[in-house]
Amino acid sequence: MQDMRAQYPFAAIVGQEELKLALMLTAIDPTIGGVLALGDRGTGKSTAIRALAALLPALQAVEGCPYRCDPDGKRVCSVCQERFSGLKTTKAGKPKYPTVTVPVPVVDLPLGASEDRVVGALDIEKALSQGIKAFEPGLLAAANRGYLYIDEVNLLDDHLVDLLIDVAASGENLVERDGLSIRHPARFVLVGSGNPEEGELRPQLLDRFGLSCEIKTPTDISSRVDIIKRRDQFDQDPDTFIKDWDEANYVQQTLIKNGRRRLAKVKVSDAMHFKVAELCVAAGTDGLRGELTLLRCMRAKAALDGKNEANLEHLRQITIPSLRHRLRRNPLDDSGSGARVAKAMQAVGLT
Amino acid sequence: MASAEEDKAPAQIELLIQSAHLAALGCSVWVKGAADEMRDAWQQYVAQCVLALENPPPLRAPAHLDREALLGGVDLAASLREGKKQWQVGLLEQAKNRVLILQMAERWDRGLTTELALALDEQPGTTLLAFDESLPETQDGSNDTPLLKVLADRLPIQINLRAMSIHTLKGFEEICERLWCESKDQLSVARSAQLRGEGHATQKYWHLLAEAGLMLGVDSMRCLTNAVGVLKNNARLAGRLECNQEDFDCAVALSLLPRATQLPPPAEQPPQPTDEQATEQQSEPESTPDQVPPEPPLAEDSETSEKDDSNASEDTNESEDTNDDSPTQQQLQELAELILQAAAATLPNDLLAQLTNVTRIKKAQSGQSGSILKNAARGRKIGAVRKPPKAGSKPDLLSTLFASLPWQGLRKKPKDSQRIRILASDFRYGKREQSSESLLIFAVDASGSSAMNRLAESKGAIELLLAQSYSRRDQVAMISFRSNQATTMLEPTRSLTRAKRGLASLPGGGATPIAAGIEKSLQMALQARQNGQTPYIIMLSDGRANITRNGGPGRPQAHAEAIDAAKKLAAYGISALFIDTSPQVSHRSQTPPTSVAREIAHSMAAVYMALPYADARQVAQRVAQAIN
Repeated sequence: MQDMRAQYPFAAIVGQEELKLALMLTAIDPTIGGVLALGDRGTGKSTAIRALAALLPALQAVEGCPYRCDPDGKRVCSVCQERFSGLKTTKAGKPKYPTVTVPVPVVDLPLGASEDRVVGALDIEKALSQGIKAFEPGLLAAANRGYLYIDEVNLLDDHLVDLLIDVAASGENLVERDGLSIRHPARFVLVGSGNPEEGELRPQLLDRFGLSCEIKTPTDISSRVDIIKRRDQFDQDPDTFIKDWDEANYVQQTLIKNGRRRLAKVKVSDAMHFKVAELCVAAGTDGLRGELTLLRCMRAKAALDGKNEANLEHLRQITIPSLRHRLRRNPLDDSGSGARVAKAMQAVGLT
Repeated sequence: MASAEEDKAPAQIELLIQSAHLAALGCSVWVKGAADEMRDAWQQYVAQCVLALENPPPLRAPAHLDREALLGGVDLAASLREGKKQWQVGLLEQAKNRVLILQMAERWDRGLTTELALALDEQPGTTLLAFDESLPETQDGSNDTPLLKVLADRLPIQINLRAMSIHTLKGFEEICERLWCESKDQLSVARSAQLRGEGHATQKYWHLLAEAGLMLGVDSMRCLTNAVGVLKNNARLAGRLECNQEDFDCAVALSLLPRATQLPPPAEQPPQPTDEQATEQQSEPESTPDQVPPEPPLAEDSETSEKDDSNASEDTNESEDTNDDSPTQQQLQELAELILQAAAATLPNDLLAQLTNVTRIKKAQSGQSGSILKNAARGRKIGAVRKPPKAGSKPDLLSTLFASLPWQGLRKKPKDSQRIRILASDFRYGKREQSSESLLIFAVDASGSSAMNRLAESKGAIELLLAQSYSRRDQVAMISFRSNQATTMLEPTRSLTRAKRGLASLPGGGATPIAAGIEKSLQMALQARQNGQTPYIIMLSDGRANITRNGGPGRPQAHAEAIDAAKKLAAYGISALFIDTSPQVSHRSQTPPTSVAREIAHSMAAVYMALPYADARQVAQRVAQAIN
């Protein structure tokens, strides 16, 4: 986008440890799924997600590709396939695409967005001027390989929710409308935020999020002062502020980079697999998604900590955000789901 | 009372003028109040200040703006004319580094408001004046939809013009004119200081703001960080580089107090009466809110108290010799007192009354404007028609193109073989359908007559329905009627936690005012309809009205009133379901017990259903059937 504004440094965000950890884990392993941040307004949720995207190493993409295809990826999109069909291939049998470096995209999905804008639609210009049926990519295409951020996700229109569920699950946007038939990659990390007091999220969508964080406005005076102070310093002189935090930001960036490299090497023992299954039984989660998320998060957490094997401590730290939103919900039960997960953790001796 | 109002005026006027100056310096303002002379005067003064700084005049956004007009997008008409995509510049783009006035900001569509709010984050140069005409919550609980929180949260200053008297207006205009030369200088000095990046808040004020936020129950950290900007601009206006107490008071009064959900707790132990006046002032605000608020600090008053404060803080600094800037216990206590004073001085009386009752404020919910089924602007496409479904509808491009295609051969001229020729007759308009959100209003007879023994059953049924509506994403509201009135137990909500809480606290006993119950439900239903929702009323009662509207006993009259109210409801065409909760086999009356209830149900054109000690599940099923 036009983003020329200085970005608030990720490392300078006060508190919100759970959200920060969740975002870093998805940065290491995007297959964990999205992050749901539920809680009070004005607590820096959108700042955190934007700051993280700015922190991440830039992407290598095929030049001129509307979906930012990964030149080293297994497959490229149909547009690239067509464009580079005559290109010479390397030894591995892959064409050598011209590449560019692009920042990790963060795309806002506004509540009132039309389906056309989200999915993409017929390109009016081409249809009118050349009489060609061409596809104009929408927000889902723009978010490929990046983040799709929905503020107030709990108030999203039903038809958009259905659409997102479909795409988030398949990683591919299938357009069958306006006489178009197109599929393109749409792999993104869904980040939703909202205040549950203003409306509940549909259970189907809830389940698609890998991690769920509860955001509370800080009540201790020192972190409140820190927030005000840092924001003031940032507004006053962004450049100096960013420079001051450069080192801390670099540390975080390195953690993520190293974590990504290490991820494939992290081992999970059979005993840990057993523990995960035990935990899910104790918490009474539906389906396998909970167990898979626990495994992936545990692995990512181990990678983040620079370990080659996941241990109980890693599992302990990621259990609550991974399972909190997956408990079979008695809609009239008041007790916080976090507490119920904690109880399950106690039952399997994880605390 | 009147004198108190008049005394308050100077402080109010000062704040209004200050808010206008701050707006000219780039602090967005949330302006509450009707479109009256007071608002016009304030707005004109802001424009005057903006012009004095040699900035372009404020832009206006009309009440019903579409997305393209606000944020830019494809200009459809021009695109068709040119045969090539033409972009139009959005109003927001034009409002870069300008003041943008939003008319009737509370009526804006949720999606657009959110987009605007997020766009503001990316474009901090725009100053927004959001005019919010929503009515304050009234005693009977009917509330207007206020400005959406997502936007309100991003506006640093809030002023309320609703409570202003004619004296204030006159005083405002008079002072603005009298001090104009001075204000102009102040503004230009402040602007140049702003451009140089001067004006600093010290550690002490970060601390004090954080404390004040906690005391007033301002949850959003964004409000606090925004208040820092207000604080600094205040200092700049006064021509100072460092913020002081005066700036802090002003920032609290303009940014934090209006968003307060609680007042700071009064000091627990009576502090040593250093100054008699101080203790007086401190104790008064916690007394009953209907009373006259404490003496407002007149100009001299506030000066003296300020001197006291500065003296006090100097004293503590000397005696305790604390090296950091974090405030001491005494300073905090002073802060609480100061806030209480400022609250009393600047807030209108009724607001103060509301402040003392936290729950009332908290329950004010952000507006949930539902969608209208007939001419939905978005939703699933269900086809194309030749006639625009409503004025201002946009043609559906694809269908238009398809409609024109068969004629191209005839219409084409050799020289422009590339272009498609589209005539007016080709235009097609998309028809969209969006299922309207429904609101289930439960009117529960909680009287002692016979409902008492069925109240538990009714509760059970409602709980089940809540669980169902959860997956259907309906809203639920609850009204109970007993003794001589109907009360809203639960505002329309989708939040199950709140619904559960409301249900659990439903009391029972007393007479049966059916007319009141019906009228209250009707009122809520009509409001819901106004918001684009489809209301359903589900009444659970035995139909034995025994108390009249004005509180007198008398079955026949009460029954007649109930029938009247029911007919009114039918006249509005609101779907209703009447669940008769009377015991089917009556012990005491000779007449068939269902007849009265049936009569009422018939009058309100409701689906009637007798409940022979049914289980809750059956009721829930029945309601679901009636709705689908």
